[in-house]
Amino acid sequence: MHNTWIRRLGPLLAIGLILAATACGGGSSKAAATPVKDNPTPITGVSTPPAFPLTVKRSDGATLTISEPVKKIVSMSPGATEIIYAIGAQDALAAVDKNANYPDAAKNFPTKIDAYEPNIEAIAALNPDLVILPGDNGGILAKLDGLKIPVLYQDLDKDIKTVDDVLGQITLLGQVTGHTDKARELVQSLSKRIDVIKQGVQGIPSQDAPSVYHELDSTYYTISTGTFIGNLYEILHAQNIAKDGAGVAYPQLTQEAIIAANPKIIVLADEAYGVTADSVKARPGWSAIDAVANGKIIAVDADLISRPGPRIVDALEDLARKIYPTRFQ
Amino acid sequence: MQIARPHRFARTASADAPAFVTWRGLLPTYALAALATFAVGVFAVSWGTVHIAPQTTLRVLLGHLPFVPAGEHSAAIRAIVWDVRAPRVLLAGMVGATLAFCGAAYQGVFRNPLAEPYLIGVASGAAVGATLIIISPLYVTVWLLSPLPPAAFAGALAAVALAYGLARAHGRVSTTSLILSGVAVSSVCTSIVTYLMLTYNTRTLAILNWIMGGFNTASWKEVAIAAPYMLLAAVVIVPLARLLNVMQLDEDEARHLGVDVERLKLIVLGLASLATAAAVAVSGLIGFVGLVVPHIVRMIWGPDYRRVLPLSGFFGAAFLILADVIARSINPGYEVPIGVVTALVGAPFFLYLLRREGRRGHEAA
Amino acid sequence: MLSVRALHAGYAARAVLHGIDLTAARGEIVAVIGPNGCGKTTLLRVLSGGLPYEGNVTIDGAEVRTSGASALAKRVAVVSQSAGLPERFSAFEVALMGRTPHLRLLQSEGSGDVRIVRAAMERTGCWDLRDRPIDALSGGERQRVVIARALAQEPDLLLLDEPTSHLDVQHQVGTFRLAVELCREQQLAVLAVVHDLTLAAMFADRMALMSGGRIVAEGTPAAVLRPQTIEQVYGLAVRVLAHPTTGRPVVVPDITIETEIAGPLEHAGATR
Repeated sequence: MHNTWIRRLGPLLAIGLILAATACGGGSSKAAATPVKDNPTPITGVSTPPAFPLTVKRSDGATLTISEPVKKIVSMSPGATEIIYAIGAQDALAAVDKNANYPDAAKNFPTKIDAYEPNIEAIAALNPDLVILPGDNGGILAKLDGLKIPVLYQDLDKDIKTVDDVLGQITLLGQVTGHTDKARELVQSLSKRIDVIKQGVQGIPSQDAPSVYHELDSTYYTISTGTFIGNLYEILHAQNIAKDGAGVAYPQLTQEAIIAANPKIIVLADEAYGVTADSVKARPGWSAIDAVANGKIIAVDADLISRPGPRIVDALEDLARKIYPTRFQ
Repeated sequence: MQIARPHRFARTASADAPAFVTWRGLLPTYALAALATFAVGVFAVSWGTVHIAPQTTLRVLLGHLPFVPAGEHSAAIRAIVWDVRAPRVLLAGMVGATLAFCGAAYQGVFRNPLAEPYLIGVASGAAVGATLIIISPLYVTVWLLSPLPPAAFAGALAAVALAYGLARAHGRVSTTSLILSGVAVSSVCTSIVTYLMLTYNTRTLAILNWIMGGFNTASWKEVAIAAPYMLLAAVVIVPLARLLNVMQLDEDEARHLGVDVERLKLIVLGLASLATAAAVAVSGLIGFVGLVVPHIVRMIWGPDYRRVLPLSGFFGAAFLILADVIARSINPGYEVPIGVVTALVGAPFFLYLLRREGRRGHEAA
Repeated sequence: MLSVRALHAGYAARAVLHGIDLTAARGEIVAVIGPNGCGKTTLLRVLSGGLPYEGNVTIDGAEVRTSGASALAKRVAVVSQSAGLPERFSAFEVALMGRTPHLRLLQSEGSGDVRIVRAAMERTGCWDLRDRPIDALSGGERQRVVIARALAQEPDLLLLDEPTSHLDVQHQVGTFRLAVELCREQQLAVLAVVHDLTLAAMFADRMALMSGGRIVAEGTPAAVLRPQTIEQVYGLAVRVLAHPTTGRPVVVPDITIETEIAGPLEHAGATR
């Protein structure tokens, strides 16, 4: 029975690990995946007018060609949905993923698709001119390709590894929807805010860089440096105790490794599930950790930090304020 | 050839009898197995990502005994040895012992070598209980009191009771009906869990994580929660081992030899399910141990339940402790699901023994 | 020894036995015969304590209904046609299980038990097989181990439930010869359910013919095995001959001329 679950839900596990402890998910492109052949736009660079046909490399190696701005998008990625709203392209949305909850309009969107058990008929019935797919769950990519529905498949795990990748995704979605200017403005303002943070942490000597344990759930799943969340800590000059996670994006740490790493700060992304600073303090043996002894246990909004959308910068600023209360007000 | 009733010709027999199993004769075997398991445990506590010398480990552990000076160790070392590794190893040992022991007991009652402690609904019932908690707003750990273990425990017992009730007819429970009703209850529970997992997909990871089991969050609290049930099962079932031998004849034969078969089934299955439910509640579902360890014990030490039950317990403990050591050593600092390890380590070994056994049977024939 | 009075018994929805009266004395071997479904097996289940009943069933004056399983197993041993045989246990270990009703919960078998089992195995001629795994023995060998196990129970009443239906003829005869010897030597009461009428007649002191949950004829083999009675109960015409040496009844089907003309093989199958 146990095995049946693993067999049946193996693909889900992969996604589950990505989504970790929280409602998030959704992804799209990556900087490297933005290369638009006819139109080599730098990620945050000056714009050239959107040139169609656009060609985009997908995570499975195939190439997607878009000949005109898309008008009917099925977004299976809450992150992409947030971007589409942020660049004012929401009129092009035909359906969003069930987990989309920001902005309110996305939360209350009339047509929702379950990204875990995607109903291919429901998607096809919407007659979309683009499906945004953050992961190939249950062979949906092949099914959509078989129906000749254009799919923008940019794997959340493989292709969105830095905050810059998130910005690249904004640029890409701007081009795809024909909202290039709005996307460029957004990327510029976000970049400016990121630069402020970068300047704020400049000059922090590496020996003063605090070590951080980012907790996804109460069984000690965490994020490695090879993820856009891990990238937030790099920007903040904080040392992620999971480092590269032995090659796993979302590894599970052993308890003793956490205690031995002795992080200066513990970041809880699982507060929604009852984990609190108090419950962390009460874990046997954890009082030996500096973060616990010094009360440096901070909570973050899991949706905010784990979703590759414009609000990732909100998450960055929030982290900056909580990690360096004296440098950022 | 006038010989009277059997007890009279007892006098004529010499002492030339085959060796046979007695409790007293087994005590050295038990002691040896206990010692070996203890040694494996001490090794496992000394072993980990963080290098701590065995003598330091022992000194920290012994420091918790009354009247033994604690010695000077850093807070991190003390925390790792006493708060993390010791309960983790102990819990792995207890769960391994319980699964293997209860697997052996189930196999004895069902007279079926493929019986395992999850056969009649414990695992799937526990999964329903755990899943319901994980998706509900109740899944809030208030300090250290998680509602998860009691819910899994209740789910496990409810499923087994349901399977038992469905199989019961005219005051008797046929093992065949019980297996069938167990399979039916398990399928229903599995469907419920699968449905809930897909409906509450943001909690899929938490549910799967629980299902896959492991000891990463083990603490003394889990040890204390589970221990009474496990001890109860061991203390009651081991003395019944000789009757389980008789059960291997078949139920009617056992009845003719004076065994109260229905009561025996109820006691053994009830307590084995209780202990398994406790194990599952604190560690999730760890496959393979309950099926394979009793087999290996039987292949090496023969079919007598007076050997099979206790030795399965010790061997299961050592097996799961070592599997857990491997689970936390493949990528030092990171966890590998222990179910993967038990299958990867156990399956080839099991196949090897099966083949060896098959060859031996062939040569003998 | 065994006394059955006005016994009624059956299963949840169906009464099977309708007033059985039967006795068996020490040193006496009683054969119960009758067609399939007449209630023979149900009767044995009642006697071995496996089924609730109305009426009286006493063994040595003790009512079966109120005897505990263990106390009953000290008085009654059962040898059935297909005993379950656990893999890998040795013949000796299986025979030793006969001591179960005499042992307390945590008690191990002692040297006294071993002597009893050894004597029983020697008596049934299977002591030499003691170290062999039970599943490696032939049908006849296993049967001797099972009888040794029954003897090791030190019973007063031995129930034989079609004990030879799966054996070769020499083992069939051997098993019953052993049963008779044990019955006399140890003053056991033996109640045997037997299909083969001639075999039953060869060894039984008394026979009870059952039909429809009642005993329709009882007495010496010669008194019970009459052609009219058998035809009534079994619906088959038979001839009863006298055994050339013992003079006991030998029952053979009354094959007619037409049957032989029609072809002995197919027709014999069809008339059964």
